[in-house]
Amino acid sequence: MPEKADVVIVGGGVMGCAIAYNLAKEGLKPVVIEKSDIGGEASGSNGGGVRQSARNLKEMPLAMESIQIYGQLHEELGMDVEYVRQGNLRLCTSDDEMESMRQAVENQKKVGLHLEMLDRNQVLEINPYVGEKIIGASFCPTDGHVNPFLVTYGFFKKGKGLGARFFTHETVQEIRMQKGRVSGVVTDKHVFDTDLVVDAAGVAGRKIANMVGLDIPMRPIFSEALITEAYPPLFQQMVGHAKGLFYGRQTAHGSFFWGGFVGTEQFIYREGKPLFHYIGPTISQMVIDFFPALKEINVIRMWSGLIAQMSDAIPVLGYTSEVPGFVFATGFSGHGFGLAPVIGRLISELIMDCKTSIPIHDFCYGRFYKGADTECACSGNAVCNTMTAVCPNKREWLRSI
Amino acid sequence: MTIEFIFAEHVRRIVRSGKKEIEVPEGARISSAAADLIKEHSLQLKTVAPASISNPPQAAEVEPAVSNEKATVEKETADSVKSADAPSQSPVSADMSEAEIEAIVNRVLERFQQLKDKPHQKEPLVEAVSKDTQESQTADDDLIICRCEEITRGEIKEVIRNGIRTMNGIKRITRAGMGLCQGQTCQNLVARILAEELGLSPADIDPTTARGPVRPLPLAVFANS
Repeated sequence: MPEKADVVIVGGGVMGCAIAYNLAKEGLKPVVIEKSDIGGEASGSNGGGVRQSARNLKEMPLAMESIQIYGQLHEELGMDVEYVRQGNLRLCTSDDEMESMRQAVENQKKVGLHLEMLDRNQVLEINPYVGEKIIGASFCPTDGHVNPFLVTYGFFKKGKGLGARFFTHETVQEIRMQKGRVSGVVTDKHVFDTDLVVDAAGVAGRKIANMVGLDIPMRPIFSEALITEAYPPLFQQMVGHAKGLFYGRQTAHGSFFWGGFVGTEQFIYREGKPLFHYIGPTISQMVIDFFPALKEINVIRMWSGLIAQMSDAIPVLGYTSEVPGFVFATGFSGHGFGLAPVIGRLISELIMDCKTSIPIHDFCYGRFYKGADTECACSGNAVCNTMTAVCPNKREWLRSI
Repeated sequence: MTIEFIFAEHVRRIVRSGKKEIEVPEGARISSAAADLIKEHSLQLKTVAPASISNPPQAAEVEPAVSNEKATVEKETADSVKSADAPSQSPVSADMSEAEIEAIVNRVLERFQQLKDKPHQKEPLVEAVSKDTQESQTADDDLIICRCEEITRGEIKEVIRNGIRTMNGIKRITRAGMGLCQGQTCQNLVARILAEELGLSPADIDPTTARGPVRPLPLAVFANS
């Protein structure tokens, strides 16, 4: 006997949990299906960066709003999520890097972000531990970092308390369709009747979209990180390389997190994890080059995750006219964690009110119709037409035509 | 030898022997599993001076035949260990005749055959605890399970009761197993708590994902590996 569900969210990562929490707050009883444990995939293996700088400019309004929500998230969720807002240093080692960074900073200032270029001495004032190679950096003081596990757990716990239902260790096998629209979700343990499905499945988001006959240009990219033993507090900023080759932070616990890329991460089997033994040593060498003071610190753990990389490195959000009732919230391309709270709020607004307080038409599925990196095919209004036209709340209107 | 730590196995022996009282040397610590068993069987705690603790009863008459045999084996093993410590009392000495040595060898072979013929019984490492005994186990929620990160049993139980169902999940949220030893000390204890809470056998619990490097390695060394 199928169960009735207001909305089924596929994916119990930070996005799924944040969406579920926001919908539950509005009085819905969302169902979340997660194939492993809450935050078991990318939300359980990421750096926890909450940054606006070095983002795609289209994401900037979302990122800025997200920072505001993170600022009071501990109150909203009723638990400490170890949020630190002490800035982000993007370190440059060559004149070329300085020049392209200067350009990027100018562009980001144009959309209203407060950040600046620093020379070596100014960098040393903020972070005295940088190595001799560093000649400057961009600095965005309102960036920061957070404990990603606790944020995910916080949204989950709070959402559950408000009536959201979470089914973990359950796999979605089929999304049922009726007359071209979503009508239900079949898992290996349950059958749900619903006219709304949110695809928040991260790296598996493409597979979920395939279930309703949609496809998105996304592929998994491997990402590895190492964790050191705890040290007394040295610095609180998020730090990273100008070109994103490596990034890291010191956690509230005292241990350092360092992630990095060597360039071969995209050459993996479909959703399988490779055995690239050179990534750990390469990240270690980069850390030593950038922060020589840390060369004796012990590495105690390494882990990896998969990034849901889109062809244009920005997510897919919202409805599509092709399958009414199907909502995208996936493809965050490795920088989604910082956006999670605002995505949760916006997707909830979209489902409840058919409109969002921040326009998301730059991220709609329709953008691929004109090829990557072009403007969305929609009218460009505050709310994308291709999204609202198929919102289930407008069902009566749809029936009348 | 003074006993400093009371383990579950010790308590089980006491229970099997039918005693209703357990002697705890002053200053000794009781493992969480042992504490649960003491509570479950309502044993009386009797504090004694460290030296006066008597050995736990072995091979008690009340035990069934199989256990009896096992106890004998244990005793024999204990005897042989003892004799290894003291070479002068060794059963095989230089002035033994060949017949005597052969007799000993035959006895060993015979015993070996007996053990081999006996159907193999694998005992679970930790007994699965049934649902109805769970309520009585709230006493030692303050017990530290992960020593590196000082995570208590209560904290672990809380995340499980909130819906986290895997060892990896517990690790991420509580930090149990994230310290210097990487869970080498606490992983079995956490698995036991998870098994208890879910009403499963610890054998059904998947361990946390193994993470390299196996032991702490300085960045400079790792970079050159």
